[in-house]
Amino acid sequence: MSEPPLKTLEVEAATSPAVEAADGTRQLEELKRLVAGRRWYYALWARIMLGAIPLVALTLLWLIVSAHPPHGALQYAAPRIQPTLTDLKNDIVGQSPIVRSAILLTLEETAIGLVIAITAGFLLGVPMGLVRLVDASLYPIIVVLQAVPFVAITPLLALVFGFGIGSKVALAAVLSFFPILLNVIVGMKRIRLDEIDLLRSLGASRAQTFLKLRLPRAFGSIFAGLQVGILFALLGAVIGEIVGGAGEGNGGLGVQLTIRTQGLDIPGAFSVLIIISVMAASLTLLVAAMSRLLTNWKEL
Amino acid sequence: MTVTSVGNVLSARNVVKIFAREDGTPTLALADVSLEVSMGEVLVLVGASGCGKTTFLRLFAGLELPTAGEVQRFGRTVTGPAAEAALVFQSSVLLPWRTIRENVMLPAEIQRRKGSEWRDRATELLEMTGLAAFADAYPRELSGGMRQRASICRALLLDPPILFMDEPFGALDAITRATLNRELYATWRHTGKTIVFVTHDITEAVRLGSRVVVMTPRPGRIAHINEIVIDAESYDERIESQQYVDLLRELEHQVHVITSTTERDDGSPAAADADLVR
Repeated sequence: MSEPPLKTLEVEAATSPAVEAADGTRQLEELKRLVAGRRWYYALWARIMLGAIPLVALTLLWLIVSAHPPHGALQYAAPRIQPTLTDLKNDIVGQSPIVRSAILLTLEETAIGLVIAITAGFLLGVPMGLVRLVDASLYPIIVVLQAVPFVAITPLLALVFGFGIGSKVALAAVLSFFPILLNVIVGMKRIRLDEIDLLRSLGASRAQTFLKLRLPRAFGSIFAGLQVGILFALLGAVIGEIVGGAGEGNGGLGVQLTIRTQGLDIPGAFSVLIIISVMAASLTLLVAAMSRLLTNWKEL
Repeated sequence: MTVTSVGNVLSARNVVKIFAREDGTPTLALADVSLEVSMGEVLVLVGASGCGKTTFLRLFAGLELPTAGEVQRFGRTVTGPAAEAALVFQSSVLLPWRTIRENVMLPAEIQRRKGSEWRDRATELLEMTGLAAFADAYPRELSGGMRQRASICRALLLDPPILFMDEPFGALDAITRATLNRELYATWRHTGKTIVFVTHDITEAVRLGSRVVVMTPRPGRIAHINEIVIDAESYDERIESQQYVDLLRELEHQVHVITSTTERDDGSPAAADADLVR
């Protein structure tokens, strides 16, 4: 299809080399084609590679140290209870049914807690961010409540919400609520007067101003809150499990962690820790990816 | 209330506007200002920062209400913004998460006017301003001049009879400003809109205005009203005419007299102006 015009171009280029050399359009087009659509891809790869280097280095160090435990004075620097990578691999793969159900349970608690926190965060944060009166009257309570060490009263939560999933969800919700709430408030206040003037001049209703202006403007801040909130929710679920126990069944990852630590199953405890860390990292990345999709615009 | 005479699109009668500064002190921004704007004219408000010209425009637009006096639009008291008038701001105020086309179509969306004709209208306006190729681009991909063109397209979308322009080209370089002055003049000749235009650039005022109102600062008052009568067929003819040169000199003189008599209360006028506007 596109053959003939290409050939004509080549012929022209061959017949008038002087003209072709003087005007840089062909070179420009070539470079454009080379770069087109790939810049973000290179940037992403560069970031992944840069982030991977320390991770790989640390894993290698672990591998070496655990395979050749140091002697002499250094032996006290490297803990002897450190499992080898093979231990961990066998453990993570080998224990899969119990671990899998634990992962699912912890995820469930995290998700329910997070949904509650997001709902409450919006229900309180939007009016607080928009109406100064509400903000002024509720802010002191929020500050006081935020200062309550909820982790310390986990046993109390277990008494109130039961030893099953309830108390874990409660802790997850409470811990993730504050970062989400505060960021929703900040996001709602992140307005530009000229944009408000524009919407007013167009005759926008309050609902339209909220949906078309305030909410998109708040996205960046809300996602920053979610990124912290999702971590706190996971943390809350795990702590809730550690303190509150299994209730019934095998329990979540926190319960598994306790069981293994108390049984001096060091590789087992480490593998649970690694699973929790990977989950935390994945959840954060998930939120970051969603944030990128939804706020894929830059300020002017 | 007296009935506005036919042909007066906007009128301000004995308007007083008092603002509270940030520390709560009331400040007189406009003191007893009266002005009529007739159909199809370009009324330019010029003056130094802090002279209340932006406040005056916002009162006409219904973004502010007068402390005393009355502002009328088409003979009715202004109580708020209306669809028959569109605003162009100093910054383009394009929403960065919307494409240029989506930004231009925002007024139709807010007014809940559905239908593909608005899309066609947006395309037509973007073509007219040479932005057709950027319809699906985001504001950050455009230069300052192009963004301001897009914001003018947005103002023109619903074809309002009145345009309020608050230093729309103030943030642009002189060459881009000259180009956009020329384009706006053509748009005005073509559409016959009534335009209220705020600027601190005297050249821009004479390039565009049918009347140029010179204001004095603190409190804002009208010092001079210059009728600009240039019998020119085209923009080029206009800016090359002797009247144009004379008016430029006359305005320069008026502004000089004002600034030399109101001098030396230099409490950072730009900041004071910002206070007053908000």
